[in-house]
Amino acid sequence: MTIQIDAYNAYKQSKVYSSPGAALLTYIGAFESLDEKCIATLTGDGVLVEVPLLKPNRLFGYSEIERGHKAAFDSIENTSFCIDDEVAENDDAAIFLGRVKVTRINGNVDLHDVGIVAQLTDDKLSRISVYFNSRNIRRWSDESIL
Amino acid sequence: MNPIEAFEEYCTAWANHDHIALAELFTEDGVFEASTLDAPIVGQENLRKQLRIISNSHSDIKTETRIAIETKTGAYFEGTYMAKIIGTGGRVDGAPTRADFRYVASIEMKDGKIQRLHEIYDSRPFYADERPRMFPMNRLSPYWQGTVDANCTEYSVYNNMYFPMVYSRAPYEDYAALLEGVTLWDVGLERQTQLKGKDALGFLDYLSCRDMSNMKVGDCRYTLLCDEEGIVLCDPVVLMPEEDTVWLSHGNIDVTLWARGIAMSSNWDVQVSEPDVAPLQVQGPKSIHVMNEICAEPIDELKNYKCKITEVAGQKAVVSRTGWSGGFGYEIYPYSSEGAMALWNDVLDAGKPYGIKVTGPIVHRAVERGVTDTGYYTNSGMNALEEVTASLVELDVTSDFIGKSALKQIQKDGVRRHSVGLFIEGEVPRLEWNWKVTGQNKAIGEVRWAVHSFELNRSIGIAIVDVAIKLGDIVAIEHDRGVVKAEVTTIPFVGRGT
Repeated sequence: MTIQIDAYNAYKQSKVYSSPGAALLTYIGAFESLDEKCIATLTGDGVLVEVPLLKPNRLFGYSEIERGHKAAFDSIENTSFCIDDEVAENDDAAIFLGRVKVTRINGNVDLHDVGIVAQLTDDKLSRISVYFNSRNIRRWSDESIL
Repeated sequence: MNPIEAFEEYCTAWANHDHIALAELFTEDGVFEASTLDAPIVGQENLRKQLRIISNSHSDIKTETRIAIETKTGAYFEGTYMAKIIGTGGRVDGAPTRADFRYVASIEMKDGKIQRLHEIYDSRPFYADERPRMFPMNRLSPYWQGTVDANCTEYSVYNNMYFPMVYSRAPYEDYAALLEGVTLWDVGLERQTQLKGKDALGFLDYLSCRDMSNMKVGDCRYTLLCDEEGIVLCDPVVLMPEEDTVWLSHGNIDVTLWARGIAMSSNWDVQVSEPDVAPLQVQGPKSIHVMNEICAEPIDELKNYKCKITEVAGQKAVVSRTGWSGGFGYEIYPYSSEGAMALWNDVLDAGKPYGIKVTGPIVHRAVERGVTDTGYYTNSGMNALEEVTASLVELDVTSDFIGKSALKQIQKDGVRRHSVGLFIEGEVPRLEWNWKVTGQNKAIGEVRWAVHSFELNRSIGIAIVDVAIKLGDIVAIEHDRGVVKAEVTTIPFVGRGT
C-alpha cells in the first residue's frame, strides 16, 4: 500500500486531512483511483485546481472540478505516481515532485515528470496546482488528454 | 550557502543574464534538468555553455518565488519566471512574444553548492497551440513528417511546397546552434531545374547574367536570372554534378517552366525537367562531423562552392559545400525522395553526439551576412544592377543572356536604385510585407529584410533605395508600430566566414 492510497483511504473515512502534505497525497491517491468525486469533495467549492491537461485547465468549484477530472478519467485505464524523494511541506503548503505513468484506454502509455503543489489558506485547502509539460502530448488538441 | 539562499542566487543570476554566476552555483558535476531541455545538462562547463544560450534568448527576466520549503537534503520551490523572447518580432498585435511560466523546482545541495536542480513547467503556452492546417493545393516536403515530429509551428509556402520556418524554440537557440553546433533544415522546397544535354552549359549561360560558360563538373556557382527587361527572377545556386548536366537550385519561382518554354522555342540541344530531388541543408561548424559520418567517403576535402556525387546514408546524392547560412555547411541532394525519411533520420542520428537541432532557415544570421533571396512575384521588381549581389552581373561578356540588352541600357542611363544595409532604431516587428522608406517627406525605397541582429545586438535591415541615398544617411522607416529612424550602412553587417 502506497502512502497516497493510505491518505486517500483515510480521507474517505474521515473527510478531513491533517496537513497540506496529507491533502496533496489524498489528491494523488484519488487520482490513481480515478475517483473524481473524492477529488471534488476534497477540494470543494472554494478551491482552485490547475491541471494543464484538462479543459479548462483551471477548475473552480465542486461541479467544475468533478466534471473536469471525469473527462480525463474517462480516457484513462490506470495511472500511478512515483514520488522522487519525499513530499516537502510546511504549515501552509506541500510540494511533490516525481513521475506519473498513465495508461490510456487506447493502450498508449505515457511516463512524464510531474510536480504538484497543495496550498492551504487559513488551514483550509485553497489551491492544487499540477505542473506538467503538456506540449509534447497535446500539440494538436485542446481537449482533455491524459 | 543553504538551499533557499542558493535558489535566491540562482534567480538573481537569471535576472542579471549572468550565466557564469549561474554555473558557479552548481558543483563541478552539477545537474540541471528542465521541461524544455532534451536532456539534463551535466557539469559546470556544459552549464556555462547552455545556460548562456537560454539566458541570451530572453530579455527583461523577472522571477518570483511563491513557496519555498526546506527539506533534509535540499528544498522545493514554486515560483514564476517572466521574460520576453528576443528576436521574434513580437505577436501580430504588437505585444512581445513572452516566455512566462510558473514552475515547481527541487534543489539538492552538496558542500554548499547545487548538486541537482530540477524544474518542471508547462512549455506549451510559449508557442503556437498547434501546427497550421495543410491544404492539398501545396505539396508536402518528403521530410514533412520529420518537421512535424520536431515541433515545427510555422510553415511558409515556397515553390508550391510547405516550407518549415519556425520550430518551438527561441530564435537565439537556433542561431547559437548554427554558429556553434549543427542544424538540419528541410529545404525540399528548394527545387532543381535540371538542364541536360550537350548544350546544357550554353543554355545555362543564356539564362544567367553571370558568366557560367567555364563551369566544370564539381563546381557550384551563385547567379541571377533575369527576364528580358533585366528584372530579377531569382538568384539560384547552380550545381554541375555531371558532364552535360546542371541543376539550378532555385528560389520561389517556376524556373523549370521558364527554361522549358525558352528551350522549346529555340534550338538549344537541352532537356529541361524538374527531377525528384529534395535537398536538406546541414549547416554549422560541426556539420563536417555529421557529414563524414553519413557519407560513403570523407567530405573534408570538399571546398566552398564545390559538389560531388557520393552515397549519403546509403543513397546516391550530390553533396555540396553551399547553404543559406553564409557560413560553414553542406547541402545534400538525394537523387530520389523515396528514401527521404530514412535519410532524415540517419542525419539526425549522426548529429546526436553534436547536439543537432532541426531548424528553419536562420534569417537572423542570413541578414547579418547579407544573404538574401529574391523571388520574381514577391520581393523583386528590381533589376539585377539594383540587387545586393549586383557586382556579379557581367555585361562585358561576349555571349548573350536574357536581359543583357536591357541591363546595358539601364547601365548607360544610370542605375536609379541600390541595395543598402540599415541600422534601424528600436526593436523591429515581424516584417510581413515591405516597409516604406522615406527621406525628406518622399518615398525613396522599401525595406525588404529586417531582423534583430544577435551579433550586433541591434535591429538591422536591407532595403532598396534611391541611388542618391549614401552611407551614413538617416532615413525614416514606416513599419507596423510607427515611424522610426534608420542609418544607412554597408552589407554585409558582419564578416563573411567560410
